[in-house]
Amino acid sequence: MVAFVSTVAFEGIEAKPVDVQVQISSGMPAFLVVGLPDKAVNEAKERVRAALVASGLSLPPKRIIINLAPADLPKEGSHYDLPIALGLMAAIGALPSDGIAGYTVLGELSLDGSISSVAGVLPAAIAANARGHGLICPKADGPEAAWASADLDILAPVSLIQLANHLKGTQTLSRPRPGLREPTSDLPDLREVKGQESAKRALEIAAAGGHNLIMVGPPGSGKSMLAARLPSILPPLEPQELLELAMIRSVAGDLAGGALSDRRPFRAPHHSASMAALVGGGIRPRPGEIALSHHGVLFLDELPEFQPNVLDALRQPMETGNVVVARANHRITYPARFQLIAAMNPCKCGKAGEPGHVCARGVRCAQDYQARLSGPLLDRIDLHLDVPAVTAADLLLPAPSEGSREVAARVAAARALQQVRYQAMGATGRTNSAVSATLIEAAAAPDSAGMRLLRDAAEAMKLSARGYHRVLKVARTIADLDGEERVGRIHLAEALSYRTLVDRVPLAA
Amino acid sequence: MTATRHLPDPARRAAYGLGLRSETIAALFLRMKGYHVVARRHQTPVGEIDLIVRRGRTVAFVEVKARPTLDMAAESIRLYQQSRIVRAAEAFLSRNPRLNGYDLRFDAVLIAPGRLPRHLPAAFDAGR
Repeated sequence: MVAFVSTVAFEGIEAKPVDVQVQISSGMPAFLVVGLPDKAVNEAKERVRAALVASGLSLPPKRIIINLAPADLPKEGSHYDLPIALGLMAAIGALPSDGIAGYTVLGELSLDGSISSVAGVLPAAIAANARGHGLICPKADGPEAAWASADLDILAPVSLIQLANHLKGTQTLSRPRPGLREPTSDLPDLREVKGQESAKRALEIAAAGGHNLIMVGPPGSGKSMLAARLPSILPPLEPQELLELAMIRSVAGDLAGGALSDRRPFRAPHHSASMAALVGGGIRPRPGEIALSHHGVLFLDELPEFQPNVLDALRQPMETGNVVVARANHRITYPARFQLIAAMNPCKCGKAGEPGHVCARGVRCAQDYQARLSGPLLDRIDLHLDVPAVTAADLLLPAPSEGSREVAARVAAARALQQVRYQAMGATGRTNSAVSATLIEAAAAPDSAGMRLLRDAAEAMKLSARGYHRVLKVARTIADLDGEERVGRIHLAEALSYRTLVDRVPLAA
Repeated sequence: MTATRHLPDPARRAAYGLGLRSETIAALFLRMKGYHVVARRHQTPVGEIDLIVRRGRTVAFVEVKARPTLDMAAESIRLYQQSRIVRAAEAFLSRNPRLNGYDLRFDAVLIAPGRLPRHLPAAFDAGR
């Protein structure tokens, strides 16, 4: 007899439906799994056998064939244990076979018959909901699955026995509740940064428009400190954004306890990061750091210390907002609309440009160090900021009266303006940095004085076409922070003042 | 296999005799459990099966192992032996098509001096 159970296979953050077909027939006794299983799926045999024995069942000495259909789609991961076990239980009559029809099942089995958590439950739950199925998942992942839909039927059992009892009607499982992480107020506050008023202003602009920002300054000037305080002034995630991010994190196995947080992600990978770690990929493809910082911040400290090819791999995702990982055997798209915040020293010793500092290696030191960054990458960074060293006099000042809360309120107001404007224009982007060039030309058309300044500056600074639009976007954000309808001369002037590094690099080369 | 019978080596002759006695004990033991012995020491071109027994709709191919203790006997069923028995079973079935459609099983009977034989139903299967 043949039993059928539905489950999923993951392709990027997409869950493709997979049918587990279990056939038990007489013939040479054997237990075979076919349908392109990888090692973890093939080993499911031993876990399933042990879990069934622990649950008081045993496999009949017959020919057992498990087919994972469609047979040409590679199956990876340990979440096939539970569907295989349920299929076997239905085939030997230990479960009513109509009990599991209409459910999408995933979960890993322990040898004692308990069900342990797996990655990717949220995308699976959303796929199940789209197919009109219910979901059977491990107990630990229930809160995560409950996010998919309020009326999705979810069973989150602890063990095979509990699930069997529920399906037979002798015990009832309650629906898990969606988990939300308690909002924590342990974020570092902008108030702790003394001095650096221009840097704080740039950080506020970056937060308000979702712009990329690079900070250049000597060691100890507070670059990393400023970057760490960016999450505290960013607005919380919108529900749609939260779900998109949660899908990526779920596939990466990064959602502990299924509790979602509306805090924007802040990822700070070390500069030894490889291309696959940052962009995504690997033999079993996993989302990289840029996908995990979707709708949030990717902070790259010591930017020139990253491998140049790794940095240049960021160029395309920074423009398109997603990354396509194409390999011989798979092709996966991860969303990656992240905000890049970078920090670097001006030279190897870190003190170039300081008043009174004379480097033994001369000007070349700073030039060589900064030339490690490619022009195209810098061209994609809207805000270039010099962060000078903090003087002792700054540290003696009383703490600034303005903290993260006040700045966050202004940022939220500016973002609200943008959202209303771009929704009215029918755009998909929500922030100035995310909209297309034609839209920003319409939204940020400067007044006549501003137009004149922009024309002169574009010629003097040799702005690229992209650079031109980036200046417009930053100017639009500054105007939004001021609550201005129109982009004026002062907004453009400030925006242009943040594009210093692009000019510096051609000089250095 | 047949060459074994003419070996002059006393150790191998003793082992052969022990194997023969053990199979007799195992066959008696299985008959007491209600099995009907279909064949003993069944020879095929790809290997030998110690016992083939039948009960109801089940045919079991039995490997008999005699060792000083039952645990040692249990450990002595090697993977290459399993595949030899599986291939031999396939050869036996192709010559006895009337048994097709029966439930098939690979069993082991462990024998140690001074202990009751131990029957392991479905000791291994034909999977890889």
